[in-house]
Amino acid sequence: MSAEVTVTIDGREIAVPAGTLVIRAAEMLDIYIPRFCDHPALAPHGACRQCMVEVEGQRKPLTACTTPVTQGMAVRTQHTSEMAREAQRGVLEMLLINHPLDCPVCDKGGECPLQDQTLAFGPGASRFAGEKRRYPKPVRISPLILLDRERCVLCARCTRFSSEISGDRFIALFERGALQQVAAYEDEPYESPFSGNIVQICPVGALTAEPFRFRARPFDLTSTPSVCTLCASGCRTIVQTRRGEVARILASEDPEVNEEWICDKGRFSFPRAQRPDRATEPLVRKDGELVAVSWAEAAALVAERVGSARERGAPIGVLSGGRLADEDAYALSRFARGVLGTADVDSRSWTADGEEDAVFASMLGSPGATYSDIEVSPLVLLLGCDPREESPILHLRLRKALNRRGSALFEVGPRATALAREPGARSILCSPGTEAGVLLSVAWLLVNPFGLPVDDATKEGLSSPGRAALRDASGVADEPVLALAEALRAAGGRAVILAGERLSRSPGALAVAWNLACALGARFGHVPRRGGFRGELWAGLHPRLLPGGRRVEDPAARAEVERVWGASLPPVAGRCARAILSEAGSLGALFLVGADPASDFAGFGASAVEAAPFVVAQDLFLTESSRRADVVLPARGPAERAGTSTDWEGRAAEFEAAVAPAGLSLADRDILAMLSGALGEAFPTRTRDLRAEMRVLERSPQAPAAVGAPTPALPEPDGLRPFSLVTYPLLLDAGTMLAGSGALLEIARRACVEMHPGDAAALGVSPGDPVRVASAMGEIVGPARLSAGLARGSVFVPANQEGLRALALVDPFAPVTAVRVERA
Amino acid sequence: MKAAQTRVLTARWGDRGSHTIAASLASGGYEALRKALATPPAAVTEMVKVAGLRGRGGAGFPTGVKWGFIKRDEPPTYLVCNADEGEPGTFKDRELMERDPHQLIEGMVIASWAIGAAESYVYCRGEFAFAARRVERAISEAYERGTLGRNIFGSGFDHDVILHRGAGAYICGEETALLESLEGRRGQPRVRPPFPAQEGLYARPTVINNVETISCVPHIVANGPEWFRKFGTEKSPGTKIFSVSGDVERPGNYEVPFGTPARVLIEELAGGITGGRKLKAYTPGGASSTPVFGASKLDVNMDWESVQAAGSLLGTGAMMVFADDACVVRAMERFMRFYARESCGKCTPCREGTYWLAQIMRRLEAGQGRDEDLDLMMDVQANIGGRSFCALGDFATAPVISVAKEFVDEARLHIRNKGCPFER
Amino acid sequence: MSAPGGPSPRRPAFAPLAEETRAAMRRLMARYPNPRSALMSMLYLVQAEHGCVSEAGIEEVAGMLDLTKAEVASVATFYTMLKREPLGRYLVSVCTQPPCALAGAGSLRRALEEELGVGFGQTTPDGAITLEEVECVCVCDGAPAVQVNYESYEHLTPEAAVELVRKLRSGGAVPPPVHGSVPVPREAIHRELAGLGGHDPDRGGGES
Repeated sequence: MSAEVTVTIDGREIAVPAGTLVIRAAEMLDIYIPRFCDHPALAPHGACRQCMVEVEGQRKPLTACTTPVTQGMAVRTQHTSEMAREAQRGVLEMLLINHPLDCPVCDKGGECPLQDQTLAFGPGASRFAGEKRRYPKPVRISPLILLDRERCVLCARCTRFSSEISGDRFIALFERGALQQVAAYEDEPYESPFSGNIVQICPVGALTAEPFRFRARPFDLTSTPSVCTLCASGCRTIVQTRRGEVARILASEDPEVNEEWICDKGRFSFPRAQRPDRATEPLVRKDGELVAVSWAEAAALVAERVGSARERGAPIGVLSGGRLADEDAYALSRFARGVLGTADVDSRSWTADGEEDAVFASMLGSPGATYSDIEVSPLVLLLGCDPREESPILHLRLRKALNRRGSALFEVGPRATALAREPGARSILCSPGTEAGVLLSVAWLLVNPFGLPVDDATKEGLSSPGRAALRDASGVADEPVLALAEALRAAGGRAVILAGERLSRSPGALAVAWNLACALGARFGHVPRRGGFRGELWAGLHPRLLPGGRRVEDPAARAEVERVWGASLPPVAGRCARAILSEAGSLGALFLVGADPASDFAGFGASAVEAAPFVVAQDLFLTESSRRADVVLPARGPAERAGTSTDWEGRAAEFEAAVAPAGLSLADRDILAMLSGALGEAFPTRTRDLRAEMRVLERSPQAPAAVGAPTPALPEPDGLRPFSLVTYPLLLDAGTMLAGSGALLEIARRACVEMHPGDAAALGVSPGDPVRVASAMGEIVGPARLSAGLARGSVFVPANQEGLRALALVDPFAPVTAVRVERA
Repeated sequence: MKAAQTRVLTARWGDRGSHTIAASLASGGYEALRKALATPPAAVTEMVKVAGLRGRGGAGFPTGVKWGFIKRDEPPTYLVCNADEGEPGTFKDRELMERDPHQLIEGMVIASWAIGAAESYVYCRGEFAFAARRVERAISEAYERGTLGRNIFGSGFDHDVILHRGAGAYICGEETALLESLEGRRGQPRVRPPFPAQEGLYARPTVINNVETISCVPHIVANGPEWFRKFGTEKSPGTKIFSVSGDVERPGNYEVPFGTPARVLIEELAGGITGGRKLKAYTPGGASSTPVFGASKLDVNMDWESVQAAGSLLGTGAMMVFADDACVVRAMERFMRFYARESCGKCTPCREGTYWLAQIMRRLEAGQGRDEDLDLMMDVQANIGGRSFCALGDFATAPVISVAKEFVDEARLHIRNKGCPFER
Repeated sequence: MSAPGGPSPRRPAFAPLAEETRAAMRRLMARYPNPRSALMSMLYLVQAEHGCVSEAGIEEVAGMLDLTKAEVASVATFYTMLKREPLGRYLVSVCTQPPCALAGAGSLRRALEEELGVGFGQTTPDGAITLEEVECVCVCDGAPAVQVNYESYEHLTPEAAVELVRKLRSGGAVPPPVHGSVPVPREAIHRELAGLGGHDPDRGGGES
């Protein structure tokens, strides 16, 4: 298939790989052949017949979308062939006989391929004098998507997307012949986190999205290329505005990243920026109430309190929350360490160990896994991450690797992901916190029978008695561990290991995974949940890391940063977020920059924010934390300022501002420059100066290096609370970034307590029964849902679903929260 | 003059209990299989190639060539027997299955040996309850007698035949739609390439052959390709079963060598037109005859090339005969409605075009047509023929072409009369 | 049951499929390299039990094959032998293609409609007979042809057709067709269509 062939299209010659479809070869020559059903990301379908062309030597016209080129083939499109023109005209006439021609009231009007085709080539009047097919008006196939069957040309792009790309096969073609139609089953709505894509690829106005219906005409919109920062997938988007407000967000194309898809959260959650709890002016607490003040007054107050804290030698804590643009993250790191002189900086909401720091330091300085690596890798090992919920476009790419490339996937963790159902996928379920034990067992097998070279520390860890105990605690049998080891051995350096941030809840697991990747020569990727995390980590919003992953203990590294900043840095590691918050009462000041510990750490975080004597919150919204602050500084939202965003791969993308900022809000970097000024310190005031510094601090890539791997601690069994809590936020939940997103929230999954059928039986719990889950921190009650995709002895509760917040149960001081589970 | 049939495939039809394995074995059944299993598979394929056997399902593709496409060294491969007979006017496959199912099974095992298939399927039209029952019973008899199953005739060759019933869809006679249906999906045709010989059933190399085609195979193997070539013409070797129906005295299946004149089939074998009436028209190849022949074409020889030379297509060899008092427009309107109902809906020209044409033909037949309708019909059919996804769209143009070209006077009579001028 | 000419009938609620039906479905799934190939057979079994492809049946089949209900309904609505409304005990299918039409299918149809009081696509109020028009059933040599639960009766006169449906309705014995077997009621024929035999092993062994 890799051999090249030469074809001629409309008299122009081009060499393309054998097997290329005529329609793609024509595109390479910038010759556009009209089409409805063809879509480059979907398998050839050949149904609409709009793309017929003349091929020399063929009696009949052929569809360009299903015909592979052959050596010497001569193709003539509608531009040069009467046969092609006639054929295309004929199809267009057929498509219109049952079309309602209601363009004036159709959302697609102005960007409709059928309309464009008809204007360009279509007949002036219809010769059809019969009865048109009629359907009752639009069917709501989900809270977000409406289907107007009369407009549908049955190209099946939507149903093919749903089966080939997203795997949510809730829409299909029903009936046959002229009555064939797209449909969802009556009581099985089309609920997919990718549903908006079918609207975007619909070549007519048959599928429309509730949030955009009748809101604007496409030609009245202004488009700005952008990047979605709601998770770390890094999707390229197009933000479309009307009168300064976002009217619609579309997926933009980047074959290296999101191809041409985005998730519904990225597409439909934009109304949040315009909601009432948006912070639009600086607020200062006076007599217990937050009241609006000028920027100058707010900055002066902050400077005064910071000054007095510094005089007293009281520590200052700075927390971010994974939501900043790279420039803002860098500015914050520089402000915290260089201006405030503190090392108590963190962007994480989880407890970690020293090995995690070492992994991050090495990872930031070495090339990591990419989407493209995943697509061609024979084996992906997925750890501590549920991509469909936490990085949806990564989920689509993994799905593609499994379905189209025949890759294999192993996942290790307490809860199977949606990928476990795909061909070639295998889920190894283990108790939460014991992932490190499973991985150590795998490493041991790779070293012993297979002779994989590993570093001494890992070797030492492997021979420790703790390993066997951990493995026993994981509840995993020998066979799957052996299968995984064998698969890794076979894939070797072509394997990809992906670790989500939740892997850090199993002490040592991230380090073992990293060392495995180093030993195999495999690509490693760290998948954080939030879009700003990678940039914040690079910037040094971490108690032990300086920009570029430099270790704070390393004097040479420190000196490099000091040179750029013109400031001397504290030579010691700072405290992590949890430690800062647990001693909040002794802080001189607490800066929360896009951080909401009262949500992320639930009650513990809320009490800490209350206890801190002076809290400055830079945020878009009045959140659980910022509404408790002493000063609230309104920050600009994602589409309101330019910047750079780095996705989980470490790939950076710049974006421009698309809409006017809300109220008096400023970009975080500008707020920090203003505060520095008020403190009498020099600080870069222009984005380009920040970027220049960041470039200087960029490190040249190094080979990934193994880190020390200790024998991980065993989770303490607890007779009182025999279950382990598994929890993480689902894609669509009651979180800050989604509030006010209307129809999108209707497809959020309902809260539930998920447990293994065996555990449920032992407790006498049937599906739907109310179940009480109690930890040392609190308790919740929710309806039971049974799933064999959960490790025995574990219970899964989504972190933050409407009416049921598992976050309230999480023990911030333990890697794994022990809970009691009973029928309520 | 009394013409006789040439009974090869239908040789056992007159026998009592012809459908049983006892009758089959008593008259040489499964001897060809025994011979084939002692012959290298490639040599069996070669025999079929040399015999010039062409597919009897309508397209006439050389069967041996089809088998030769299969890469035997990459198992599994599959054989699928297309028993989804549904072309209006055709009833040969049904009777072949009802009267001599063992001939079919024997042919299937031989074909499977040639292409290296351990499993084969009979995709039988759902409405053929009786034929399916006969095949099912024959399959179990074959297992009992060891002509199916493990180590057939001690050759080491294992083979299973599975009967699968359709559920009502003419389109499943199209081979890739049949495969979709056999995989439990909507019977809509697949994009080619890949062809079934590369990726067919369960994405494995697959041969799909019609019942009558496969039924020829034991005779070719038993008697040799030269014997087979003695019948028929150079390009259409062998015998063919023609289904003659409509206004004839003795409707039925008649097996004759390819190249037998239509007159012999209609006037002699089928006993001529009923009630002493005259012939008005006949279909050389079922509803999809493009176009229907008038009385002037009675001396056309019934083989692929002669029928094509006379301007139509042989198709399945279904000859529906219309006497001079029958309304051809009405018949064609009924065919058009058939195609509109049976269009699978996948491609635009067939889905929308048959919907449109059925409406025009309905008003024409009812006497509400206009003169322009005849041109419009021809325009619309020109946008279907050669432009649809599969051959169903091409077939669907046949009724229009027949009316607008061959029977245009009769169509105009409907318009002038504002109604149908015929009784029947 | 659907009332002739009445408003769109309400779908009757059906009990879950019997355990033995589910077991039979699992056997059918095991016949094929890919269990999905058994989908249409499984829907025939649903029809045997519920008289039509019921919603309850769609749900069960979807669960067993790990398909969505939309995928199952997508297939079920494609094929004409899979019905949305409950069938009568006997399905009487009248071919109206030209060979049958020339041989009097029209008068056959009128006689049946008059006798049964229902039109094509409808079921008699007693649930005995569903009348339908069918595309060519390839019995053109026996025109006009009528199928009763897929057994083909040939050369039927209007009188003989009326006599036949009267006997079917009253539960009396009907004669076998010339080629074929005595029709069996709805449940039995759909079990057979599913590929489960279920018919008398000698059925089909009769002379032809």
